Amino acid sequence: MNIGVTLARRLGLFAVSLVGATLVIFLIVQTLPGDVAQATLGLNATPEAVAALREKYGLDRPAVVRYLAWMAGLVHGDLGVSYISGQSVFSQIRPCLAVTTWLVVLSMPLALLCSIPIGLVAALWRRRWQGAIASGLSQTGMAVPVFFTGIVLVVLFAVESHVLPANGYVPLTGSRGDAGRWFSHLLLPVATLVIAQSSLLARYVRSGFIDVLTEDYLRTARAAGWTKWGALIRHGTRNAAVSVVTVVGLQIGAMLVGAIIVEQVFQLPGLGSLLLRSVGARDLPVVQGITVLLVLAVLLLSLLVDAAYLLIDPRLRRGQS
Amino acid sequence: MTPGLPPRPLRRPLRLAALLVTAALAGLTACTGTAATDPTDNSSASGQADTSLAVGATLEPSTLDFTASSEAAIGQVLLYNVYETLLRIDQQGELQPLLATGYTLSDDRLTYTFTLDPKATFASGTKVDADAVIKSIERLKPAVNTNVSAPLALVAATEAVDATTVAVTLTHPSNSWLYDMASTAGIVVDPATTDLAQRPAGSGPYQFSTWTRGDQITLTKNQSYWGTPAGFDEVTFRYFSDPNAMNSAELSGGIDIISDLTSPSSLSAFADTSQYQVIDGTTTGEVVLGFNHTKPALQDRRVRQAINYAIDRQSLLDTVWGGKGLLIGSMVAPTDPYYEDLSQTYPYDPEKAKALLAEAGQENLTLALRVPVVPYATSAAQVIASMLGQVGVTVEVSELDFGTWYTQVFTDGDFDMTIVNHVETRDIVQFANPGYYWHYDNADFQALIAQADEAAPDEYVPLMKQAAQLLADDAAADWLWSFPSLTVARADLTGIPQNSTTTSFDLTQIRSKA
Repeated sequence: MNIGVTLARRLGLFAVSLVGATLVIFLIVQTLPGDVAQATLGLNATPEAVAALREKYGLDRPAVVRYLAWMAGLVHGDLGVSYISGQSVFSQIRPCLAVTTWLVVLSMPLALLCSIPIGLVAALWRRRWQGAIASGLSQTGMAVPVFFTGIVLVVLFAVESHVLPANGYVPLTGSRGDAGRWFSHLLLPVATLVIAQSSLLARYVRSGFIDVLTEDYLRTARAAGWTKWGALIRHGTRNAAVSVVTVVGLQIGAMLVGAIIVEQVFQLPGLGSLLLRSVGARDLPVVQGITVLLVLAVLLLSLLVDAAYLLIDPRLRRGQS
Repeated sequence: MTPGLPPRPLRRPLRLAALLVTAALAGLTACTGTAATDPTDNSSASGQADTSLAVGATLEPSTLDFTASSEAAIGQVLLYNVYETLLRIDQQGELQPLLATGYTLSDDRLTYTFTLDPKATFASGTKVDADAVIKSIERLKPAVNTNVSAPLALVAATEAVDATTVAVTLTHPSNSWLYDMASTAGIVVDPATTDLAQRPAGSGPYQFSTWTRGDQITLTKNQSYWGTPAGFDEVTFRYFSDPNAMNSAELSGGIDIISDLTSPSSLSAFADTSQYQVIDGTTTGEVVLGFNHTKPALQDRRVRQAINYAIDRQSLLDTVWGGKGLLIGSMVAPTDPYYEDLSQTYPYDPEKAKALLAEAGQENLTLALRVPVVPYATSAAQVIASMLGQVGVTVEVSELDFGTWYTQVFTDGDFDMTIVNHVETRDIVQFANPGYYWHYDNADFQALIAQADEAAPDEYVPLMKQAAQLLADDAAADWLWSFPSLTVARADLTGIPQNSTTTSFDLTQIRSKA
């Protein structure tokens, strides 16, 4: 099988998954009890007023009609209009997507950078005290809940010392944009994510290198005159990278929506917060829009991860299954 | 990789924790160390205290159009700050002049004649004259929000007697009408604004500026305000879905005021009076343990009274809300003119509760208590379940998110008891509506409420007191406590509102001494 066929098969699977996902999302979202009309009008609303609002939003139409209308919009790249704000779903998602994207883009490379030395130390000296410390650090980082790390950082750097803002967000660009304040507001959330993510990744780096260390080719390379480090970097890194790349891909997907805890602790108006708010207000077009985008992102990531395998491992390029 | 973190002065107990965190940050600090030492700006508010104010709040509105939604969060930002009314309700619950300097009531109690303040102008510069007031009433009449449309439905005719005199004639006399018109329903909208959701425009000391959804709403000073000028050039309402984050923001100087503290247990963090002031007042909210009056067991007054006797409301309040709030005993807020302390109607008496249950033949009663997931309700539900357990009533507690609660409890009536803080003003009248989700149907009470509303103004208060007493005697619900208004503010701020008598967080009197 050559690369072309592999990619074509992946793309086909991609399309089928996406359509399947829209159906599942729609069905799940529709089964949420309660609706936006009641949530908007509150405790003093008359049943007539609620019914009128339901009609205005088209909630009185059959589910099939609503699904097809939504799909027709999606095909044209139109995610629909928010019940609550009356604005297009995309215009509502865009600023939140920016916040979450910054979190991921800033924290993932840093987490990777931090995890490699920690994982390497933990692998190479795994029976010595250096390795024990490195393993202990990553274990601790994984065991401590993200919200707790966040709160500790807030107490240290904002409440006690007033060095950084406790929470909130300032956009990088736009009318309220301010690069310095944007940076200072993202510093603690990014640090929180880096601690959690690098701890996790360090585990995979460690086990990746431990596997590599016992391989014959490494012994052969040493016999051929490579130094221990030279052999490890020249021959070990690529092999250890495969499992790490898989985890990075999964983690980026998880972070897009999973950053919600960090968004809550630091009150960042990101994608997870918007999703939570929209579910609470039963603003279904926004809920559907966000979940479709997330599915799309996860599917794209898995495509990218597959492509990365091909780059890393020449054996896969030659078509060995 | 060795971290090169510069030494930072920290208090001793913190050093160990700081070291641990620093160690965990090992790689990170190398990458971001320079930034961590940058003196950053969390002084957005405190650095320019004389010109800007940041107010933390819990609930963000979903729209700014008060005609489309009944959310209290809209009034919190806009009422009295951006929009003004003919009369306003002060901190004690009394009516005070605002756009109107006064009013007269005709002998048949049908026609109110308001005299407008000749100085009054909208922020756009247009005069607030009789025509503008009439246009606003006509515009708001078809509002989807029944809090606005219901009082305006009583308006039979309006007349501009002259430029500063408006006569409003009602279909029938109503004592609550004038009060409603001093709140959201009475807002006078600038006729020039076409979109109340995007460009709210009124005559208040502040103007709407921007709204970043999910984050904050900014108001700016109305430079040409016709009355006492606003205290700040800019006021930002920042929204916090997490009460701890709001506390951290106040403690780190990110915001100046916590407008509605929802975690009374955290008040101790603001004990330093040189830095903070804690303002403890009342709201119009009653936390109601509501009964479903269509259920046979709860149709029996003895059962409802037994529940009232079985719940020790003082220790409930101490346990779940830090003792903040008032015991009320009926559906009346402490700032309502007909308020009386009825909290001792059913003093805690589990023996009496057991006796009443036995008398009613309900020794093995099981009740479903379905509460929305909000802090006061979920924690109160657990305590109540245990207190009712003591008198032999089995309580099955389930927690529902508000959307589900609306469907299951409010609309479908699938519940025995529920707990909600009813924040609407003068909402005792909901007990006169048998279609409301409690389905309380008492002809005597309905007659009394109707009679009070149409009575002469001096008979209104005594009749409403009777109505409140009737509700309490009939144990139509168990009124757990009156929800407190807890505000935390920087010590140097003055004019912070104490009581919430309307949905407004009234910024108009707030000034900075610094």
